Amino acid sequence: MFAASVAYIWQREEKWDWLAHAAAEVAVLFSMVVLLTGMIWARKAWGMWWTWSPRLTFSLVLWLLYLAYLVVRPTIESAERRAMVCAVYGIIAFLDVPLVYFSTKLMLDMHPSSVDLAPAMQVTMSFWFAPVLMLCAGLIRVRYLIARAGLEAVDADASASRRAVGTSGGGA
Amino acid sequence: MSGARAIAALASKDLRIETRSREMVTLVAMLGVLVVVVLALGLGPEAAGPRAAAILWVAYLFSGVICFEKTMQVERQDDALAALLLAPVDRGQIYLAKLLANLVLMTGTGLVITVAGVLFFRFDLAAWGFAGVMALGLIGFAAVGTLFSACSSSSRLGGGVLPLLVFPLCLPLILASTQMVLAMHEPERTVSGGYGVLVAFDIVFLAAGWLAFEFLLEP
Repeated sequence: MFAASVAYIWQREEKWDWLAHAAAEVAVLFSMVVLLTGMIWARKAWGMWWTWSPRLTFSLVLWLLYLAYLVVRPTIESAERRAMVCAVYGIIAFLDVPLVYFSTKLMLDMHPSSVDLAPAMQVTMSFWFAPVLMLCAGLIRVRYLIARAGLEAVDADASASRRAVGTSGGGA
Repeated sequence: MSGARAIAALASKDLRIETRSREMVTLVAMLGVLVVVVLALGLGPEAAGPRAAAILWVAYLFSGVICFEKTMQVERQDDALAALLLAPVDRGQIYLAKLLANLVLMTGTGLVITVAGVLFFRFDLAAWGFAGVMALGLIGFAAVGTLFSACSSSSRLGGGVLPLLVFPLCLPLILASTQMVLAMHEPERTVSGGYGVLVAFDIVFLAAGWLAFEFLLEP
């Protein structure tokens, strides 16, 4: 999303804006999955839904950052303006991520700081990375294609109605 | 006109408008005090102590976004912004001038809010440490707020968009400064690198605001 935002400011092409939007949607979705599954696990393991541990706080703040992007985006009507504001916010939010990380480090921790996984678990985890990354890339791609198809449909509509006006004008 | 003089001229213009009308400072300080009073009533005397730093932050945040919105709104009246953009001044300097005006206004209202907080929450400031942490926090908050105040007119929500964009971005500041204030009062708790986070936040977003302001500024 950061890369797409920088690319938009640089080249001012709509496609980068669509890509950034698609990436933000997927980021919100994935961090929501992390938060929800983490909460269910914490309920079982620690007996409570939520604690203010650094890691949970970090995921929550990330989720809020990108959710704000999605909430503000549709309220800006001009497409060019929307793309620009969103691109700047995308960059600023990305710069915020390491700061969020280091500020949560200041809190008292409940999570283990490092875990030695059993070899079998390591294998499972590294195999798990590939499909999740593919799912992530696939979802971004689908959202991007939907945005492009939407704009093409609007363009086709507009030119069709222009043609209709043209022929009726010619007939009269 | 040299950079520093342009910034001083623009910032003093904003502050002069404010000293003559005194509209915003009164409104913002009043709002901040109201936030503190509402929280003091709701939480009761048990909330006393260093945890009141979070309550002060709530008041700073709400009064801050009104500050940012108002100093930008001045430019939207009578197309003043169009004239400002025509002036031979770098957009980055306009940003710094607005930031300076916002910081002066926020320091004034922040003092009122802090005094109210100290009174209601029997809050021991641990004076200089607290002032330093909050000053660094407010600089970072103003850097982000001033940047996004430039785009609030493009949204249907108007000024309502500002807290949505600025509050999530400022969470690391609030987290770091409240943890540090807690650590000042509880010797058994150690916080290392808190100042690092605050200073890094300020530097990153002052630079980002200075560079990105021109992309967001529009009549």
